[in-house]
Amino acid sequence: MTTASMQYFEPNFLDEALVVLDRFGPRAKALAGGTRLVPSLREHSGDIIALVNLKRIASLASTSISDGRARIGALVTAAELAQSPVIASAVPLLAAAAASMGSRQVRQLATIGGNICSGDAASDLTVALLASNAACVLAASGHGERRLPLRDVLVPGGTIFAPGELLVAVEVPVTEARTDYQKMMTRRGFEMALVAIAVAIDRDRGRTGPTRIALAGAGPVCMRATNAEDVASTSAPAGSGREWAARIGAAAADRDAMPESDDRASTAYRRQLVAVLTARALVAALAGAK
Amino acid sequence: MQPVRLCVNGVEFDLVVHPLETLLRTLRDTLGFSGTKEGCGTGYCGACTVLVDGDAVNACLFLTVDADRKELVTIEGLAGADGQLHPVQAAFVENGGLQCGYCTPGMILSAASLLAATPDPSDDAIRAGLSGNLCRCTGYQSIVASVHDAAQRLRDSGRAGERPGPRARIRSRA
Repeated sequence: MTTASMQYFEPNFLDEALVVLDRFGPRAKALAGGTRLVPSLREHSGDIIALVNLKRIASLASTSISDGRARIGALVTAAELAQSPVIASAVPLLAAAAASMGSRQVRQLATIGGNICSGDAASDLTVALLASNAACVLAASGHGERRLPLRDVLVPGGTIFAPGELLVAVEVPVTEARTDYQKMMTRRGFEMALVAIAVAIDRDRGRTGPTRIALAGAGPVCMRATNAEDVASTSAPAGSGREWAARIGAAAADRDAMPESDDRASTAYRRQLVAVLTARALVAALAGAK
Repeated sequence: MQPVRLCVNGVEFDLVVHPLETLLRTLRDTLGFSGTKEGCGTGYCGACTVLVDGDAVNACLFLTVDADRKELVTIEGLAGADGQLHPVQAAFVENGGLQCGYCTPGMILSAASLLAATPDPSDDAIRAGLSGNLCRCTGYQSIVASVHDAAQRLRDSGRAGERPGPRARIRSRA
């Protein structure tokens, strides 16, 4: 797995990392948790000429809340998200998704930034962040920071971030939304989701407000179910909301999901999971589950 | 090449490693801690689980440069200085929590780290806590029983919540 020509950098400060990423462009790789990159380096390290290990940059590992937004550093791990009392109260949807992810060993390493940048179609953290209206904070050498909505950056297997640009943090609005996370796996614990659904129902003076629904494992990337969200916003739940939720679930499955068959599940099964899990998540969120 | 200082099972080693070398490789091939096993090499099976500053991680996903100045515990560091087995090891032996033994070092370290955080776990908590460690022999029943017994032994001996691994630190050179 060794490549003699590869240069290794271990910057202590963000500016140093950005200079190196700028200089090597697409042939540089930033290393965060390593759960994806380390095994892949062993097989295809040839086209990478610079590896930038971010772990010494303390500013990337912190979480803060101000002005109604949580700013979560790109190096914050899934274990930290799952255990943090701050995240549990400010963004409970993200805490639930993080706790459901991988194994204890993987949660200890995997980062929120890496989860987004890997562009995985079944990413627990990405789908929870989509339903939370998260924004990506990007930095590039000499350009300061810029923000992009998460929903605009995802492409199959990655993101639209420019070479030399680094995801430094994720910003999530802190709301009173009722949320729920539903996930189907082939076995309980430590398995990528077949389909996972994150929902957030905003509350406006005690009444049900706009609803956000995000799907994982239902297409080439994690996505917002905009058609289903339209159905939700033009109708109101009655009683436990089961009928309302079922209509929205059906819309998500029929008009938003674009699942493909693979060795783990068929298109038809995934579509059915989208319908059932979306409805289940909405009912649970209405009932006040976090 | 990068200089690193590792503290493995209470012994410090100063090494120079390639930046892409995994902790698994360093532990097994350079330092000879061959109790740490390589299974899948991609973070799924948990055979290479070791403790880094008390947290269970997959050594196959962990670069040795990231272990610099950290405290590592492998299966070799769990027994007491007098050779007496750690309560988790003793419980696995007496409850038949292993057959071929290949997953066992990782399984025991995961269990030890789980019990340090959760001294009296439920069945579900044990299964969830060990879900990153695959065993192809036992069917897991005896492993779950072993962990319950280990929890009891740790509580009975007043060691509940204790961080696994040696206390003292010895200087050495490799």
